[in-house]
Amino acid sequence: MTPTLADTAPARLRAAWASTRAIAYATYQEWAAYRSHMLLSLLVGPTFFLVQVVIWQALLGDGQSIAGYDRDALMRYYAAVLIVGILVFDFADWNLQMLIRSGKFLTFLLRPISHRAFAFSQKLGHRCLGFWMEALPIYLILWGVFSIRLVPARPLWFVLSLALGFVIMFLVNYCVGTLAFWLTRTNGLRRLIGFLRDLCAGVFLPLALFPDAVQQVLFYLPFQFITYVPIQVLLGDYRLGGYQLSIPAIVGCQALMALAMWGVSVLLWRAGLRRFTAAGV
Amino acid sequence: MRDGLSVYLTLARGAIAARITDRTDLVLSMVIMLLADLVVPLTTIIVYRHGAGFAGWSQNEALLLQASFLLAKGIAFPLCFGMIWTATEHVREGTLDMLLLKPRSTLLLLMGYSFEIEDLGKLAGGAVLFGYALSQLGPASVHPAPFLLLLALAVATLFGFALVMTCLSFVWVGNSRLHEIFDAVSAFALYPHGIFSRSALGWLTWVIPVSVLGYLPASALLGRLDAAWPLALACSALFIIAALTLWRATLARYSSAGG
Repeated sequence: MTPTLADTAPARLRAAWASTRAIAYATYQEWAAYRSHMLLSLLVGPTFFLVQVVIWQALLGDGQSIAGYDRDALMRYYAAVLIVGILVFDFADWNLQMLIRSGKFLTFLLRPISHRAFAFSQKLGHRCLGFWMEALPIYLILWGVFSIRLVPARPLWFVLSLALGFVIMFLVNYCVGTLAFWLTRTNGLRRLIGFLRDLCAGVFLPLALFPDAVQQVLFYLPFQFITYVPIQVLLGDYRLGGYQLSIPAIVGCQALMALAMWGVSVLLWRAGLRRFTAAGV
Repeated sequence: MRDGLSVYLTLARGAIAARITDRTDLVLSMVIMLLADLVVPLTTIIVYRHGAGFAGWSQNEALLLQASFLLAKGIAFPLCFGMIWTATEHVREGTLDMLLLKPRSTLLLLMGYSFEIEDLGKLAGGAVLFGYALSQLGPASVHPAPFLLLLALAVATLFGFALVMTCLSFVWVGNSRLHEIFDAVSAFALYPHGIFSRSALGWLTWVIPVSVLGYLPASALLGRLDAAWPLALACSALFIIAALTLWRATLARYSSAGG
């Protein structure tokens, strides 16, 4: 008897979840061997944060504000950048271009799982480790040393927004990684796009500080949805380029952007795969 | 000396030739080197446009300070910061022995092999920013001689930082994030001294000589060096000597893979 869609769909989902869990766990174990590599974040992250504290304390006196941010608001913003940045961190672009460049990507074409799903599972495992080895200790440092306690204004919406930021970061990076099908060596391009991504995602400076015309453009790019939106959802207020949206509305926009980026990644993947010949093939 | 320079130039030429094979990637890398370091100046401009600012420093003076640091980085990074990554890879793979066997200084060889042409993008960014800030301030108000002297010291201090991190790569085998330590610590060099507390200033001058990287050259250029500058200079010199001593000790203790 031929199985119906209703029979196969749950079984497929179960199989997909089982492989995702297995790959994530293997990645978690693999990276747990490089603990000191990750623990470096506990030195680097708070040091960068300290720089921000010193600068903004010098720049803004008591009661002074800049584009709606006073000193405390800016400190909370940069603290959120630190935590959200760690939780959505991704290097799928580097991984994919390395596999394509070295020809090792060929082995993934033979596996019964899409490489995108494989890479996403790896990211899940890597960030699970990052959650308790990087994000949690830094959260405690921010609380204990800098007296900044980040509590989401609406926790469920924040978790959803963070999850969507996590996915969009992956998809953006994955699209950049697929460019290696055409360019082979993409170190410079990756770094360039990575820099622009961070700049447009509000990692260096709150986007509200940019000129209005720039903010209008940034609103329609995918980058703000990676970091800026989760941060603003955490802080409980979203506005950019003259648009003031409710938390559910901006998280809805984020979901639409995730879908759009998924579509772009599928198109790029199909086009790139047609060009792939592997080293020596 | 002349022989050493000739060896270095030959190796650097080789490194450039190897890097130039991917020209598009090289150009993009140079662009990103330039852009990445312009984030802080961009932030400074935005902040000043919003009416805030560092007390006692106009926007162009603050930009000049940041440009001084970028100039020092633009000179030091191509020459010596690549050796951190090269040493990390050699130590991890156990191939440093090949360098140790050669009849030339290992440090010289490491620096020569790892000349990074794309870091010249930093120099270009620094030069453009420096030119812009200087043109706004007017050349009449600057003192070039002490500036050049302190800029040379800043470059030498950066060499000391690179050397310390290279030594760390021997201990912290395979850690590709060593650069981040420098990036975090040196971020303090981009701002005027007035914003730091007294104790922080002590740390940034006497313990980790960060103030010599940007603040001292810029304040010398503007003719407002504070009285403690000879002591800051001495601390930097001590730091460089300590880094060289550490390098010799690290190399002497290196026992290769499986040693």
